[in-house]
Amino acid sequence: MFIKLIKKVMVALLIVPLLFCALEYGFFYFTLKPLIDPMISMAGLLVSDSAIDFGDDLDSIYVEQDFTDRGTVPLSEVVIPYVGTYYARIESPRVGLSVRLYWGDSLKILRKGAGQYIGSNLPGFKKPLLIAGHNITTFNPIQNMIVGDLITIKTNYGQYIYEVYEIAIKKSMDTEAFNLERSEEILIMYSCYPFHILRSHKYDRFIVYGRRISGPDIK
Amino acid sequence: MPMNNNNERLRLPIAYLTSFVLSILLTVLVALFVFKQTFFTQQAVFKAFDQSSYVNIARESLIENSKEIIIQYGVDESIIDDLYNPIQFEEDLKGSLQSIWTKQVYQIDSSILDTEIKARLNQFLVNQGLTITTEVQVGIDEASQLIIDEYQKKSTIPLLSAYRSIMVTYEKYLNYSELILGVLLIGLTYFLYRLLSKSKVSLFIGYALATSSWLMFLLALYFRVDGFYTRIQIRPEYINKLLVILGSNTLNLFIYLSLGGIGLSLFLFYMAYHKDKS
Repeated sequence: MFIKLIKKVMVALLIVPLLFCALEYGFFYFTLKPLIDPMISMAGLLVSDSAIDFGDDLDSIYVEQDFTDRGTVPLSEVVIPYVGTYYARIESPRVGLSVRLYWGDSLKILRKGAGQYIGSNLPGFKKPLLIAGHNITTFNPIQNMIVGDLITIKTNYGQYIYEVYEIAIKKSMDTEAFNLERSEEILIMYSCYPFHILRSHKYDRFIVYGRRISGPDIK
Repeated sequence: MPMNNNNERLRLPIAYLTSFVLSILLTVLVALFVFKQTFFTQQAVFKAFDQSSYVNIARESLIENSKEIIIQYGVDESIIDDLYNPIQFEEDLKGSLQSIWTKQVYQIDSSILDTEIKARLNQFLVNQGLTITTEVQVGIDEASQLIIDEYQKKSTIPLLSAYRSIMVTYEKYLNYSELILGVLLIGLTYFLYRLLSKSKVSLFIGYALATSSWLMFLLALYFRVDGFYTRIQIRPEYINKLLVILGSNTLNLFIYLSLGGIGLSLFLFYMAYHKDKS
């Protein structure tokens, strides 16, 4: 008898309420459709397929390795980095420069290391490279550079050496100083200038120019 | 109440219809109550605020941004280390949040921070062996002002005024809605009492309660499993986390209430059939 009662109760709990439920979903859907549709569209703008990524870890594709001078490297061996990827190291032992080189030069990147302007070229393409670094941290050692110093960029596909041929202090808006239209592989490294003085706006740039003296061409 | 056969036949469909309408009203009332409880009460918002580690994430972001600022001035980022008092920062954040309910603008006192940052910048320059010229002094004032602006920005809850205005509107609307829905619910329940016998009344109120509970339970469960609120693309991180926790708490409350409703309707059905039998 008790089992029968329980059965009755369970049926009452499921059949009528779930039938009502289905009717109510339909009722709400049709009556509130003009309100729900724009809300769903708005939600589509705010909600995506995956959770938002707040991580600030930059990607890395650089692997330390020794290279013998190969003369040329096939293009297929060159991995074009995404913006924010650590893809090379830039070193100049005489002045104590040894930092990570990232593809891109946003503030976030510059806090981690040197950043290469993505409108410039990767090493080996016989076109200028434009690399920035903070004057107080990453590129602080470049103030001690002199003409004739060697700067090495180590990538996954080859090691490139540049010889400094000019050091200059120029205005940040001087476009000629950062000319990327040249058809030779010039390394342009720059930092804010002066190096240690707290100034409201630093309009000057300390620029080191280097010319490639070794490293494989990309074919 | 004397009833002829035709009236008797009409009673059941009317009771079903009343129960159906009752469940709609109940669902709307509970939904309004849940949103009010989870989004607009001080206790619930502060609970979500603590659960989301808002203070820690906002403080980390404040330190990172301050370092970004200071590095532009050629100053080592270590100058920012331990600059911000975590207790003061938490107090300022909570004061800012509380202003939603007190309806008074919370004033952030940044005078101590101003003195501290200027002292640190001066010390840094002295350590570098540099003279403080007028130009450098301008730089110090400007950098410290930017740091203070960043602190004030981070210690004020974003979208605060928008939230306050939504809350005021919602509360006004809710007060009227609660009154109207309450009157309708009581009226319909009384109508059922007049229409049916006591055992049948329990049954039909049970239907309304169970329908409303299932409706909320299935919907809340679907949204909980789908987790759309965890994929909301709103920055900064601390606001995103706060919204996710608020969304999660809202759905949880829906689920708990609907489970309670199902339990209560089970009891009502049992009572109805038990009375019938006796």
